[in-house]
Amino acid sequence: MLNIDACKIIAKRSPGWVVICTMSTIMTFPEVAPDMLSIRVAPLMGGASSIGLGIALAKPDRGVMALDGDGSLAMQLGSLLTIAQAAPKNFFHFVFHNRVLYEGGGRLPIAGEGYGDFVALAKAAGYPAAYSIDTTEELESQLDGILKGPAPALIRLAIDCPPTPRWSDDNPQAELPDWWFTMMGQDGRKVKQALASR
Amino acid sequence: MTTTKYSVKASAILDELKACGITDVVTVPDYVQASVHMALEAGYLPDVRIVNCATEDEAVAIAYGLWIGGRKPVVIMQNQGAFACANALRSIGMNARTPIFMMVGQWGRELANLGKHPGLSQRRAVRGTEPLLDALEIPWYRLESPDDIGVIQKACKYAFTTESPAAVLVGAHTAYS
Repeated sequence: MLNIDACKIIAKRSPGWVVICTMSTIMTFPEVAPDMLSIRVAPLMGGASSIGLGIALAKPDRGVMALDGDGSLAMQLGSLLTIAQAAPKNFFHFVFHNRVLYEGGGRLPIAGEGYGDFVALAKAAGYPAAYSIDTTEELESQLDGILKGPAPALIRLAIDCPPTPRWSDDNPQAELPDWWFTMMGQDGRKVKQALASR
Repeated sequence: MTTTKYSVKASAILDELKACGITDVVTVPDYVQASVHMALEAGYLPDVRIVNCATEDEAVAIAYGLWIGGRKPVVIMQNQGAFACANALRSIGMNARTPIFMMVGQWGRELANLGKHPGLSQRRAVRGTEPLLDALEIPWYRLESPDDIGVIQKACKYAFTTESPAAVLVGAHTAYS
């Protein structure tokens, strides 16, 4: 499934939730759900699930999702243990498993691809539930049940890279704009205000 | 190392954290502040939640999430942890402007350096901590002896009023009684 299609399905099922986006979903989730409470986590790899954990602990009556990447989770695998021990019943940890870094153009290899198993890792760390979903049809049919089920839960999504050309001299990676360095703080303050007022 | 005249009592530190209104301790436990951790585990501040983390990167990120959710966390780590999570402090603390209030133990400090400038320590982990925080543009406050106890509230106030990180550097092993 494509990243944006997964985001559309997730957004439909999660009105009122707080959604922590990172890596490839930084661009796609806000595009499909501009009015949702979301925080774009960058420039920082590996922090999304921990930020989500903090919000979930602070607001136990509010659903919280982290839309993590495979490379970013690989950077902080120990966070699985931390999340399992903290055991927030309102936290769902999606892993967009596209098997590469820089899905939109670089598509460079991540550590452990072809060896690791995020679902098995989550279960071994102590998550009470972990799922693997390969298609949009499966996600559509299973997500409601997953979100009503035990948590914290990890949901590994098999993501296909978009058919965009790889970076080259004729198609180089873009310069990072200034807002890339300030958006996480701005998003965090918006969510903080919204959570305080509801 | 041992308890010395420079050691601050765990109870004194925790009383200050209580006075600050701290709600959560997010931590990779610190060798230097072991007595503080033990008192917390024993329920000295029963209303304060403890979140144990695998890495200091996580601790900083969890503290950010807790603050977004309306809580007032402190992050307790040792100086090696500060080195380890420099990028998280840069990103979450400085770029996102978050009140990451930290208690950082000066792990590895030799007895001969107590009472002297930490920059004169023979241990790189000790003498490098203040320059590390300076490089990140994070203000720090030395807790070198019981006389310095006021820096805890000072650092906390700075962090949460300016919405930016601040660190208390705990210079000597904290005392158990």
